[in-house]
Amino acid sequence: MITVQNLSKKYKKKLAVDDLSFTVRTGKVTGFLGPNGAGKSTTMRLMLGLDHGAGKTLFDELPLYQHPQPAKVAGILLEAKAFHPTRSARNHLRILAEAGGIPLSRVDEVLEIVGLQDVARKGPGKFSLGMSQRLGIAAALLGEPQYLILDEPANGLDPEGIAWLRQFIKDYADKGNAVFISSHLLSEMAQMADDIIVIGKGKMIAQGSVNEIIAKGTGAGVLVRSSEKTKLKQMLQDKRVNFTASEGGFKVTGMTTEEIGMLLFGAGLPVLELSREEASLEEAFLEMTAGSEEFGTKKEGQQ
Amino acid sequence: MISALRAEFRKLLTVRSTYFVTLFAFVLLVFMSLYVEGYKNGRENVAVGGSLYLAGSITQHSGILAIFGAIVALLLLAHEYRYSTIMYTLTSARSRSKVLLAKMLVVFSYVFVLTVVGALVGLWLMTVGLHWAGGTMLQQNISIVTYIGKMLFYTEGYALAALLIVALIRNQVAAIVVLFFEPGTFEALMSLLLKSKSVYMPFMSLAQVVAAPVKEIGRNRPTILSDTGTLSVEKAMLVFGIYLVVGWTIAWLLFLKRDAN
Repeated sequence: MITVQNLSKKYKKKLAVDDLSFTVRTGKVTGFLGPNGAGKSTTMRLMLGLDHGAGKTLFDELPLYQHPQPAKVAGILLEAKAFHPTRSARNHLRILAEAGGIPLSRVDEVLEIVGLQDVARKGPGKFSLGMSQRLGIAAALLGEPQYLILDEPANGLDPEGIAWLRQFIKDYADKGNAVFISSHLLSEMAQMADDIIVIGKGKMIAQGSVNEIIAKGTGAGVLVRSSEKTKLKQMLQDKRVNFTASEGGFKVTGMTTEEIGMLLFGAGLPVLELSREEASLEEAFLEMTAGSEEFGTKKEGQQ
Repeated sequence: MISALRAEFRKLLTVRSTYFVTLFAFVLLVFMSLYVEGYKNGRENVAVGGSLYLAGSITQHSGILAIFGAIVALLLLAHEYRYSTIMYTLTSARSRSKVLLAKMLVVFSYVFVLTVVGALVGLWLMTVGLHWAGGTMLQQNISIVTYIGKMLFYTEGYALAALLIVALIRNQVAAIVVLFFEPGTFEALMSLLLKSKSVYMPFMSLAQVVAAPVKEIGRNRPTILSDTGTLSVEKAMLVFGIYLVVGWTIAWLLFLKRDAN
Protein backbone atom coordinates (compact mmCIF):
# COMPACT_ATOMS: atom_id res chain seq x y z
CA MET A 1 0.00 0.00 0.00
CA ILE A 2 1.17 3.53 -0.74
CA THR A 3 0.38 5.93 2.07
CA VAL A 4 0.51 9.60 1.24
CA GLN A 5 0.54 11.84 4.29
CA ASN A 6 0.04 15.60 4.28
CA LEU A 7 1.90 16.34 1.07
CA SER A 8 2.37 20.03 0.39
CA LYS A 9 4.44 21.95 -2.09
CA LYS A 10 4.80 25.68 -2.52
CA TYR A 11 6.32 27.43 -5.54
CA LYS A 12 7.19 30.93 -4.40
CA LYS A 13 3.80 32.20 -3.27
CA LYS A 14 1.67 29.59 -5.00
CA LEU A 15 0.58 26.49 -3.11
CA ALA A 16 0.72 23.76 -5.78
CA VAL A 17 -0.15 20.88 -3.46
CA ASP A 18 -2.05 21.56 -0.28
CA ASP A 19 -1.99 19.00 2.52
CA LEU A 20 -2.93 15.95 0.44
CA SER A 21 -3.40 12.62 2.17
CA PHE A 22 -4.65 9.39 0.62
CA THR A 23 -3.83 5.74 0.18
CA VAL A 24 -3.29 3.64 -2.91
CA ARG A 25 -4.41 0.10 -2.20
CA THR A 26 -2.65 -2.99 -3.48
CA GLY A 27 -4.64 -5.05 -5.93
CA LYS A 28 -6.48 -1.94 -7.09
CA VAL A 29 -6.20 0.66 -9.82
CA THR A 30 -6.44 4.14 -8.36
CA GLY A 31 -7.29 6.94 -10.76
CA PHE A 32 -5.92 10.37 -10.04
CA LEU A 33 -8.04 13.11 -11.54
CA GLY A 34 -7.93 16.86 -11.64
CA PRO A 35 -8.07 19.72 -14.12
CA ASN A 36 -4.89 20.99 -15.80
CA GLY A 37 -2.66 22.63 -13.22
CA ALA A 38 -4.43 20.91 -10.33
CA GLY A 39 -1.12 19.55 -9.02
CA LYS A 40 -1.32 15.91 -10.17
CA SER A 41 2.16 15.71 -11.65
CA THR A 42 3.66 17.64 -8.75
CA THR A 43 1.98 15.24 -6.33
CA MET A 44 3.46 12.27 -8.18
CA ARG A 45 6.91 13.84 -8.16
CA LEU A 46 6.60 14.54 -4.45
CA MET A 47 5.57 10.94 -3.82
CA LEU A 48 8.68 9.71 -5.60
CA GLY A 49 11.02 12.15 -3.87
CA LEU A 50 11.88 13.94 -7.12
CA ASP A 51 10.56 17.21 -5.71
CA HIS A 52 10.96 18.32 -2.14
CA GLY A 53 8.06 19.51 -0.04
CA ALA A 54 6.25 18.89 3.22
CA GLY A 55 4.71 15.54 4.15
CA LYS A 56 5.78 12.03 3.31
CA THR A 57 4.94 9.07 1.13
CA LEU A 58 5.45 5.52 2.31
CA PHE A 59 5.67 2.53 0.02
CA ASP A 60 4.97 -0.36 2.40
CA GLU A 61 5.97 1.66 5.45
CA LEU A 62 9.15 3.06 3.89
CA PRO A 63 9.98 6.04 1.67
CA LEU A 64 10.93 4.86 -1.79
CA TYR A 65 14.64 5.65 -1.51
CA GLN A 66 14.95 3.58 1.68
CA HIS A 67 14.06 0.36 -0.13
CA PRO A 68 17.11 -1.70 -1.14
CA GLN A 69 16.13 -1.56 -4.81
CA PRO A 70 13.68 1.30 -5.46
CA ALA A 71 13.26 0.30 -9.12
CA LYS A 72 11.71 -2.99 -7.98
CA VAL A 73 9.25 -1.15 -5.74
CA ALA A 74 7.91 1.59 -8.00
CA GLY A 75 7.86 1.81 -11.78
CA ILE A 76 7.28 5.30 -13.07
CA LEU A 77 6.10 7.05 -16.19
CA LEU A 78 5.96 10.79 -15.68
CA GLU A 79 6.87 12.07 -19.14
CA ALA A 80 6.35 10.37 -22.47
CA LYS A 81 9.53 11.69 -24.07
CA ALA A 82 11.99 11.14 -21.25
CA PHE A 83 14.80 9.58 -23.27
CA HIS A 84 17.85 10.58 -25.28
CA PRO A 85 16.62 10.83 -28.89
CA THR A 86 19.55 9.06 -30.55
CA ARG A 87 20.26 6.41 -27.94
CA SER A 88 18.44 3.25 -29.00
CA ALA A 89 15.31 2.23 -27.13
CA ARG A 90 17.10 -0.95 -26.07
CA ASN A 91 20.10 0.92 -24.71
CA HIS A 92 17.80 3.37 -22.93
CA LEU A 93 16.17 0.48 -21.11
CA ARG A 94 19.50 -1.24 -20.49
CA ILE A 95 20.73 1.87 -18.69
CA LEU A 96 17.64 1.91 -16.51
CA ALA A 97 18.07 -1.81 -15.84
CA GLU A 98 21.72 -1.30 -14.84
CA ALA A 99 20.80 1.59 -12.57
CA GLY A 100 18.03 -0.37 -10.90
CA GLY A 101 20.01 -3.60 -10.46
CA ILE A 102 17.69 -5.44 -12.85
CA PRO A 103 18.96 -8.25 -15.11
CA LEU A 104 19.50 -7.06 -18.70
CA SER A 105 17.46 -10.00 -19.99
CA ARG A 106 14.39 -8.19 -18.67
CA VAL A 107 14.87 -5.47 -21.29
CA ASP A 108 13.85 -7.68 -24.21
CA GLU A 109 10.91 -9.01 -22.19
CA VAL A 110 9.43 -5.56 -21.58
CA LEU A 111 10.07 -4.51 -25.18
CA GLU A 112 8.00 -7.48 -26.26
CA ILE A 113 5.27 -6.72 -23.72
CA VAL A 114 4.79 -3.21 -25.12
CA GLY A 115 5.27 -4.31 -28.73
CA LEU A 116 8.43 -2.34 -29.50
CA GLN A 117 10.76 -5.27 -30.20
CA ASP A 118 10.98 -4.41 -33.91
CA VAL A 119 12.20 -0.86 -33.27
CA ALA A 120 14.35 -1.67 -30.26
CA ARG A 121 17.58 -0.72 -31.99
CA LYS A 122 16.27 2.60 -33.27
CA GLY A 123 16.66 5.95 -31.59
CA PRO A 124 13.32 6.97 -30.10
CA GLY A 125 13.70 10.58 -31.23
CA LYS A 126 11.50 9.86 -34.22
CA PHE A 127 8.99 7.71 -32.34
CA SER A 128 5.37 8.84 -32.40
CA LEU A 129 3.85 9.94 -29.11
CA GLY A 130 2.15 6.56 -28.80
CA MET A 131 5.41 4.67 -29.33
CA SER A 132 7.14 6.95 -26.84
CA GLN A 133 4.42 6.16 -24.31
CA ARG A 134 4.98 2.46 -24.89
CA LEU A 135 8.69 2.92 -24.26
CA GLY A 136 7.86 4.80 -21.08
CA ILE A 137 5.56 1.99 -19.98
CA ALA A 138 8.34 -0.52 -20.76
CA ALA A 139 10.66 1.49 -18.53
CA ALA A 140 8.09 1.45 -15.74
CA LEU A 141 7.69 -2.32 -16.00
CA LEU A 142 11.42 -3.12 -15.99
CA GLY A 143 11.72 -3.98 -12.32
CA GLU A 144 8.39 -5.84 -12.18
CA PRO A 145 7.50 -3.33 -9.45
CA GLN A 146 4.71 -3.70 -6.97
CA TYR A 147 3.63 -0.13 -7.64
CA LEU A 148 3.12 1.56 -10.96
CA ILE A 149 2.88 5.34 -11.00
CA LEU A 150 1.75 6.52 -14.40
CA ASP A 151 1.09 10.11 -15.43
CA GLU A 152 -1.19 10.29 -18.48
CA PRO A 153 0.02 6.98 -19.97
CA ALA A 154 -2.79 6.85 -22.54
CA ASN A 155 -1.83 10.16 -24.20
CA GLY A 156 -1.09 9.57 -27.86
CA LEU A 157 -2.02 5.88 -27.83
CA ASP A 158 -4.23 4.66 -30.65
CA PRO A 159 -7.55 2.93 -29.78
CA GLU A 160 -5.89 -0.48 -29.89
CA GLY A 161 -3.15 0.83 -27.62
CA ILE A 162 -5.65 2.28 -25.16
CA ALA A 163 -7.59 -0.99 -25.04
CA TRP A 164 -4.32 -2.88 -24.50
CA LEU A 165 -3.26 -0.46 -21.74
CA ARG A 166 -6.64 -0.73 -20.00
CA GLN A 167 -6.51 -4.52 -19.91
CA PHE A 168 -2.84 -4.59 -19.01
CA ILE A 169 -3.30 -2.26 -16.05
CA LYS A 170 -6.30 -4.18 -14.76
CA ASP A 171 -4.39 -7.45 -15.04
CA TYR A 172 -1.35 -5.92 -13.37
CA ALA A 173 -3.43 -4.81 -10.39
CA ASP A 174 -5.20 -8.17 -10.24
CA LYS A 175 -1.83 -9.81 -9.62
CA GLY A 176 -1.68 -8.02 -6.27
CA ASN A 177 0.07 -4.88 -7.44
CA ALA A 178 -1.13 -1.30 -7.16
CA VAL A 179 -1.49 1.10 -10.05
CA PHE A 180 -1.74 4.85 -9.48
CA ILE A 181 -2.68 6.50 -12.73
CA SER A 182 -3.62 9.98 -13.80
CA SER A 183 -5.57 10.58 -16.98
CA HIS A 184 -7.94 13.01 -18.63
CA LEU A 185 -9.68 10.16 -20.44
CA LEU A 186 -12.48 9.90 -17.92
CA SER A 187 -14.45 7.23 -19.74
CA GLU A 188 -11.33 5.08 -19.74
CA MET A 189 -10.77 5.80 -16.10
CA ALA A 190 -14.33 4.78 -15.28
CA GLN A 191 -13.68 1.40 -16.89
CA MET A 192 -10.20 0.92 -15.51
CA ALA A 193 -10.11 2.32 -11.99
CA ASP A 194 -11.41 0.86 -8.75
CA ASP A 195 -10.74 3.95 -6.66
CA ILE A 196 -10.71 7.58 -7.66
CA ILE A 197 -8.98 10.59 -6.15
CA VAL A 198 -10.04 14.02 -7.39
CA ILE A 199 -7.99 17.12 -6.68
CA GLY A 200 -8.34 20.74 -7.70
CA LYS A 201 -5.90 23.60 -7.08
CA GLY A 202 -3.75 21.18 -5.11
CA LYS A 203 -6.50 20.30 -2.66
CA MET A 204 -8.40 17.07 -2.16
CA ILE A 205 -11.90 17.33 -3.62
CA ALA A 206 -13.12 13.76 -3.37
CA GLN A 207 -11.90 10.21 -2.94
CA GLY A 208 -13.69 6.92 -3.00
CA SER A 209 -14.71 4.10 -5.30
CA VAL A 210 -15.78 4.95 -8.84
CA ASN A 211 -19.44 4.42 -7.91
CA GLU A 212 -19.14 6.61 -4.84
CA ILE A 213 -17.61 9.40 -6.89
CA ILE A 214 -20.28 9.14 -9.58
CA ALA A 215 -22.98 9.18 -6.93
CA LYS A 216 -21.63 12.50 -5.67
CA GLY A 217 -22.52 14.06 -9.00
CA THR A 218 -26.04 15.07 -9.93
CA GLY A 219 -25.89 13.64 -13.42
CA ALA A 220 -28.24 10.72 -12.74
CA GLY A 221 -31.99 11.22 -13.17
CA VAL A 222 -35.08 10.45 -15.19
CA LEU A 223 -35.79 12.27 -18.44
CA VAL A 224 -39.45 12.92 -19.02
CA ARG A 225 -41.04 14.54 -22.06
CA SER A 226 -44.68 15.25 -22.76
CA SER A 227 -46.61 17.03 -25.50
CA GLU A 228 -48.19 19.04 -22.62
CA LYS A 229 -44.95 20.60 -21.43
CA THR A 230 -46.52 23.45 -19.43
CA LYS A 231 -48.90 21.12 -17.61
CA LEU A 232 -46.04 18.71 -16.93
CA LYS A 233 -43.94 21.49 -15.40
CA GLN A 234 -46.86 22.63 -13.26
CA MET A 235 -47.47 19.09 -12.07
CA LEU A 236 -43.79 18.61 -11.11
CA GLN A 237 -43.82 21.90 -9.21
CA ASP A 238 -47.04 20.97 -7.42
CA LYS A 239 -45.56 17.63 -6.35
CA ARG A 240 -42.38 19.43 -5.14
CA VAL A 241 -40.18 17.27 -7.34
CA ASN A 242 -36.54 18.23 -8.06
CA PHE A 243 -36.18 18.81 -11.77
CA THR A 244 -34.31 20.80 -14.38
CA ALA A 245 -35.09 21.59 -18.02
CA SER A 246 -33.35 19.13 -20.30
CA GLU A 247 -33.49 18.09 -23.95
CA GLY A 248 -37.01 19.40 -24.65
CA GLY A 249 -38.33 17.94 -21.39
CA PHE A 250 -37.32 17.78 -17.75
CA LYS A 251 -34.71 15.83 -15.86
CA VAL A 252 -36.09 14.63 -12.55
CA THR A 253 -33.80 13.61 -9.73
CA GLY A 254 -34.56 11.74 -6.54
CA MET A 255 -37.33 9.59 -8.03
CA THR A 256 -37.49 6.30 -9.88
CA THR A 257 -38.86 5.86 -13.39
CA GLU A 258 -41.81 3.93 -11.97
CA GLU A 259 -42.71 6.68 -9.48
CA ILE A 260 -42.71 9.35 -12.19
CA GLY A 261 -44.67 7.10 -14.52
CA MET A 262 -47.39 6.70 -11.92
CA LEU A 263 -47.51 10.48 -11.36
CA LEU A 264 -47.91 11.12 -15.08
CA PHE A 265 -50.59 8.46 -15.33
CA GLY A 266 -52.42 9.96 -12.36
CA ALA A 267 -52.29 13.44 -13.94
CA GLY A 268 -53.46 12.08 -17.30
CA LEU A 269 -50.55 13.57 -19.21
CA PRO A 270 -49.41 12.09 -22.53
CA VAL A 271 -45.88 10.72 -22.33
CA LEU A 272 -43.43 11.08 -25.21
CA GLU A 273 -40.38 9.84 -23.32
CA LEU A 274 -39.64 8.42 -19.90
CA SER A 275 -36.09 7.17 -19.56
CA ARG A 276 -33.43 6.64 -16.94
CA GLU A 277 -30.23 8.68 -17.47
CA GLU A 278 -27.13 7.30 -15.82
CA ALA A 279 -24.56 9.65 -14.42
CA SER A 280 -21.02 9.47 -15.74
CA LEU A 281 -17.68 9.96 -14.11
CA GLU A 282 -17.15 12.86 -16.46
CA GLU A 283 -20.29 14.67 -15.27
CA ALA A 284 -19.40 14.04 -11.66
CA PHE A 285 -15.84 15.21 -12.29
CA LEU A 286 -16.94 18.39 -14.04
CA GLU A 287 -19.35 19.22 -11.26
CA MET A 288 -16.78 18.59 -8.57
CA THR A 289 -14.02 20.57 -10.19
CA ALA A 290 -16.14 23.48 -11.37
CA GLY A 291 -14.35 26.61 -10.24
CA SER A 292 -11.12 24.85 -9.45
CA GLU A 293 -9.71 24.87 -12.97
CA GLU A 294 -6.38 26.60 -13.19
CA PHE A 295 -6.78 27.27 -16.90
CA GLY A 296 -10.56 27.21 -17.39
CA THR A 297 -12.01 28.22 -20.75
CA LYS A 298 -14.49 31.05 -21.01
CA LYS A 299 -18.09 29.85 -21.37
CA GLU A 300 -20.26 31.26 -24.14
CA GLY A 301 -21.75 34.57 -23.10
CA GLN A 302 -19.41 34.78 -20.12
CA GLN A 303 -17.70 38.17 -19.65
CA MET B 1 27.19 2.25 -6.25
CA ILE B 2 28.32 -0.40 -8.72
CA SER B 3 24.89 -0.24 -10.40
CA ALA B 4 25.13 3.53 -10.70
CA LEU B 5 28.64 3.29 -12.14
CA ARG B 6 27.62 0.69 -14.71
CA ALA B 7 24.63 2.80 -15.74
CA GLU B 8 26.74 5.93 -16.05
CA PHE B 9 29.36 4.16 -18.16
CA ARG B 10 26.62 2.86 -20.41
CA LYS B 11 25.17 6.38 -20.72
CA LEU B 12 28.58 7.67 -21.76
CA LEU B 13 29.17 4.95 -24.30
CA THR B 14 25.73 4.82 -25.92
CA VAL B 15 25.47 8.35 -27.28
CA ARG B 16 27.02 9.42 -30.56
CA SER B 17 28.28 12.72 -29.14
CA THR B 18 30.89 10.90 -27.03
CA TYR B 19 32.40 9.35 -30.15
CA PHE B 20 32.11 12.46 -32.33
CA VAL B 21 33.72 14.71 -29.74
CA THR B 22 36.50 12.22 -29.00
CA LEU B 23 37.16 11.71 -32.69
CA PHE B 24 37.31 15.46 -33.26
CA ALA B 25 39.76 15.84 -30.37
CA PHE B 26 42.04 13.24 -31.92
CA VAL B 27 41.82 14.73 -35.40
CA LEU B 28 42.91 18.08 -33.96
CA LEU B 29 45.60 16.39 -31.88
CA VAL B 30 46.98 14.59 -34.92
CA PHE B 31 47.09 17.84 -36.88
CA MET B 32 48.79 19.78 -34.10
CA SER B 33 51.31 17.16 -33.05
CA LEU B 34 52.15 15.54 -36.37
CA TYR B 35 52.03 18.58 -38.63
CA VAL B 36 52.46 21.78 -36.58
CA GLU B 37 54.72 20.64 -33.71
CA GLY B 38 56.45 17.88 -35.61
CA TYR B 39 56.75 18.46 -39.35
CA LYS B 40 56.30 22.26 -39.62
CA ASN B 41 58.40 23.25 -36.64
CA GLY B 42 60.95 20.61 -37.59
CA ARG B 43 61.37 22.06 -41.06
CA GLU B 44 61.53 25.62 -39.80
CA ASN B 45 63.73 24.48 -36.94
CA VAL B 46 61.62 26.50 -34.49
CA ALA B 47 63.06 25.89 -31.05
CA VAL B 48 63.26 22.16 -31.62
CA GLY B 49 66.77 22.34 -30.33
CA GLY B 50 65.60 23.53 -26.87
CA SER B 51 65.57 21.15 -23.94
CA LEU B 52 62.04 22.25 -22.98
CA TYR B 53 60.40 21.81 -26.34
CA LEU B 54 58.44 18.85 -25.06
CA ALA B 55 57.36 20.72 -21.93
CA GLY B 56 55.97 23.44 -24.17
CA SER B 57 53.90 21.00 -26.14
CA ILE B 58 52.03 20.06 -22.96
CA THR B 59 50.11 23.31 -23.20
CA GLN B 60 49.01 22.58 -26.75
CA HIS B 61 47.98 18.98 -26.16
CA SER B 62 46.36 19.69 -22.79
CA GLY B 63 44.26 22.45 -24.28
CA ILE B 64 42.87 20.21 -27.01
CA LEU B 65 42.19 17.22 -24.78
CA ALA B 66 40.79 19.31 -21.93
CA ILE B 67 38.20 21.20 -23.92
CA PHE B 68 36.84 18.13 -25.67
CA GLY B 69 36.97 16.03 -22.52
CA ALA B 70 35.07 18.80 -20.75
CA ILE B 71 32.37 18.81 -23.44
CA VAL B 72 31.81 15.07 -23.03
CA ALA B 73 31.71 15.50 -19.24
CA LEU B 74 29.24 18.35 -19.55
CA LEU B 75 26.93 16.40 -21.85
CA LEU B 76 26.84 13.40 -19.51
CA LEU B 77 24.89 15.42 -16.96
CA ALA B 78 23.33 18.06 -19.22
CA HIS B 79 21.54 15.38 -21.29
CA GLU B 80 19.85 14.14 -18.12
CA TYR B 81 18.19 17.48 -17.59
CA ARG B 82 17.57 18.19 -21.26
CA TYR B 83 15.82 14.88 -21.87
CA SER B 84 14.32 14.50 -18.37
CA THR B 85 16.04 11.16 -17.78
CA ILE B 86 17.21 12.57 -14.45
CA MET B 87 13.89 11.37 -12.94
CA TYR B 88 14.76 7.76 -13.78
CA THR B 89 18.31 8.21 -12.52
CA LEU B 90 17.16 9.60 -9.19
CA THR B 91 14.27 7.23 -8.56
CA SER B 92 16.48 4.20 -9.27
CA ALA B 93 19.09 5.27 -6.75
CA ARG B 94 18.95 5.14 -2.99
CA SER B 95 21.17 8.17 -2.67
CA ARG B 96 21.59 11.27 -4.79
CA SER B 97 25.16 11.59 -3.55
CA LYS B 98 26.02 8.24 -5.11
CA VAL B 99 24.55 9.37 -8.43
CA LEU B 100 26.74 12.45 -8.43
CA LEU B 101 29.80 10.48 -7.31
CA ALA B 102 29.22 7.89 -10.03
CA LYS B 103 29.09 10.64 -12.66
CA MET B 104 32.32 12.16 -11.34
CA LEU B 105 34.08 8.80 -11.39
CA VAL B 106 32.92 8.04 -14.91
CA VAL B 107 34.04 11.46 -16.13
CA PHE B 108 37.36 10.97 -14.33
CA SER B 109 37.88 7.56 -15.94
CA TYR B 110 36.96 8.74 -19.43
CA VAL B 111 39.22 11.80 -19.24
CA PHE B 112 42.03 9.67 -17.76
CA VAL B 113 41.97 7.32 -20.75
CA LEU B 114 41.53 10.21 -23.20
CA THR B 115 44.49 12.07 -21.72
CA VAL B 116 46.91 9.16 -21.39
CA VAL B 117 46.15 7.87 -24.87
CA GLY B 118 46.11 11.42 -26.27
CA ALA B 119 49.41 12.33 -24.59
CA LEU B 120 51.18 9.22 -25.83
CA VAL B 121 49.73 9.45 -29.33
CA GLY B 122 50.53 13.17 -29.49
CA LEU B 123 54.09 12.58 -28.33
CA TRP B 124 54.65 9.78 -30.78
CA LEU B 125 53.16 11.74 -33.70
CA MET B 126 55.27 14.76 -32.85
CA THR B 127 58.39 12.58 -33.01
CA VAL B 128 57.22 11.07 -36.29
CA GLY B 129 56.64 14.58 -37.67
CA LEU B 130 60.10 15.71 -36.59
CA HIS B 131 61.77 12.73 -38.25
CA TRP B 132 59.66 13.32 -41.33
CA ALA B 133 60.96 16.90 -41.51
CA GLY B 134 64.50 15.69 -40.88
CA GLY B 135 64.77 17.42 -37.48
CA THR B 136 65.93 15.97 -34.20
CA MET B 137 64.99 16.74 -30.64
CA LEU B 138 67.59 17.29 -27.95
CA GLN B 139 67.52 15.50 -24.61
CA GLN B 140 64.37 16.89 -22.97
CA ASN B 141 64.25 18.41 -19.53
CA ILE B 142 60.99 16.75 -18.51
CA SER B 143 60.07 13.18 -17.65
CA ILE B 144 57.21 11.40 -19.33
CA VAL B 145 55.53 10.93 -15.95
CA THR B 146 55.60 14.67 -15.26
CA TYR B 147 54.43 15.31 -18.81
CA ILE B 148 51.40 13.10 -18.50
CA GLY B 149 50.83 13.98 -14.83
CA LYS B 150 50.47 17.69 -15.55
CA MET B 151 48.23 17.02 -18.50
CA LEU B 152 46.07 14.75 -16.38
CA PHE B 153 45.61 17.38 -13.70
CA TYR B 154 44.70 19.96 -16.32
CA THR B 155 42.26 17.81 -18.29
CA GLU B 156 40.64 16.24 -15.22
CA GLY B 157 40.34 19.68 -13.63
CA TYR B 158 38.73 21.10 -16.73
CA ALA B 159 36.28 18.19 -17.04
CA LEU B 160 35.28 18.31 -13.37
CA ALA B 161 34.81 22.06 -13.68
CA ALA B 162 32.55 21.49 -16.70
CA LEU B 163 30.54 18.91 -14.78
CA LEU B 164 30.32 21.34 -11.88
CA ILE B 165 28.95 24.07 -14.16
CA VAL B 166 26.12 21.78 -15.34
CA ALA B 167 25.40 20.59 -11.81
CA LEU B 168 24.88 24.22 -10.82
CA ILE B 169 23.11 25.51 -13.94
CA ARG B 170 21.24 22.34 -15.07
CA ASN B 171 20.83 23.67 -18.59
CA GLN B 172 22.87 22.35 -21.50
CA VAL B 173 23.08 25.50 -23.63
CA ALA B 174 23.77 27.81 -20.69
CA ALA B 175 26.42 25.43 -19.35
CA ILE B 176 28.26 25.31 -22.70
CA VAL B 177 28.13 29.11 -22.91
CA VAL B 178 29.57 29.44 -19.39
CA LEU B 179 32.24 26.81 -20.09
CA PHE B 180 33.57 28.86 -22.98
CA PHE B 181 32.74 32.35 -21.72
CA GLU B 182 34.22 32.02 -18.24
CA PRO B 183 37.83 31.21 -19.14
CA GLY B 184 37.85 32.75 -22.61
CA THR B 185 36.12 36.06 -22.02
CA PHE B 186 35.36 36.69 -18.36
CA GLU B 187 38.76 35.76 -16.99
CA ALA B 188 40.51 37.46 -19.90
CA LEU B 189 38.66 40.70 -19.16
CA MET B 190 39.19 40.33 -15.43
CA SER B 191 42.92 39.91 -15.99
CA LEU B 192 43.01 43.48 -17.29
CA LEU B 193 41.75 44.55 -13.89
CA LEU B 194 43.58 42.10 -11.67
CA LYS B 195 46.84 42.17 -13.62
CA SER B 196 49.37 39.77 -12.00
CA LYS B 197 46.78 38.58 -9.48
CA SER B 198 44.69 37.19 -12.32
CA VAL B 199 46.54 33.87 -11.99
CA TYR B 200 44.39 33.24 -8.93
CA MET B 201 41.23 33.01 -11.04
CA PRO B 202 39.94 29.44 -11.55
CA PHE B 203 40.88 28.63 -15.13
CA MET B 204 43.97 30.81 -15.16
CA SER B 205 45.32 29.02 -12.11
CA LEU B 206 44.58 25.74 -13.84
CA ALA B 207 46.43 26.93 -16.92
CA GLN B 208 49.44 27.66 -14.76
CA VAL B 209 49.77 23.94 -14.04
CA VAL B 210 50.70 23.21 -17.62
CA ALA B 211 52.29 26.57 -18.37
CA ALA B 212 54.48 26.78 -15.29
CA PRO B 213 57.87 26.53 -16.99
CA VAL B 214 56.89 29.24 -19.43
CA LYS B 215 59.59 31.71 -18.38
CA GLU B 216 62.29 29.16 -18.87
CA ILE B 217 60.95 28.17 -22.23
CA GLY B 218 60.47 31.80 -23.06
CA ARG B 219 64.09 32.16 -23.98
CA ASN B 220 63.63 29.73 -26.82
CA ARG B 221 59.93 29.95 -27.56
CA PRO B 222 58.66 33.48 -27.10
CA THR B 223 55.40 32.57 -28.80
CA ILE B 224 54.14 30.80 -25.69
CA LEU B 225 55.20 33.44 -23.22
CA SER B 226 52.49 34.37 -20.77
CA ASP B 227 52.18 37.80 -19.19
CA THR B 228 49.55 36.80 -16.65
CA GLY B 229 52.10 36.10 -13.97
CA THR B 230 53.32 32.77 -12.70
CA LEU B 231 52.51 30.33 -9.98
CA SER B 232 54.47 27.22 -9.11
CA VAL B 233 52.81 24.03 -10.28
CA GLU B 234 52.02 23.05 -6.71
CA LYS B 235 50.52 26.44 -5.87
CA ALA B 236 48.51 26.48 -9.09
CA MET B 237 47.14 23.02 -8.27
CA LEU B 238 46.25 24.15 -4.77
CA VAL B 239 44.44 27.29 -5.95
CA PHE B 240 42.41 25.44 -8.57
CA GLY B 241 41.81 22.57 -6.14
CA ILE B 242 40.26 24.98 -3.64
CA TYR B 243 37.92 26.35 -6.29
CA LEU B 244 36.92 22.83 -7.25
CA VAL B 245 36.31 21.64 -3.68
CA VAL B 246 34.27 24.71 -2.75
CA GLY B 247 32.32 24.58 -6.02
CA TRP B 248 31.57 20.90 -5.70
CA THR B 249 30.49 21.26 -2.08
CA ILE B 250 27.92 23.84 -3.15
CA ALA B 251 26.85 21.77 -6.17
CA TRP B 252 26.48 18.64 -4.04
CA LEU B 253 24.33 20.41 -1.44
CA LEU B 254 22.14 21.87 -4.19
CA PHE B 255 21.88 18.48 -5.90
CA LEU B 256 20.50 17.03 -2.65
CA LYS B 257 18.12 19.88 -1.94
CA ARG B 258 16.76 20.96 -5.30
CA ASP B 259 13.81 19.54 -7.19
CA ALA B 260 14.87 17.23 -10.00
CA ASN B 261 14.02 19.29 -13.06
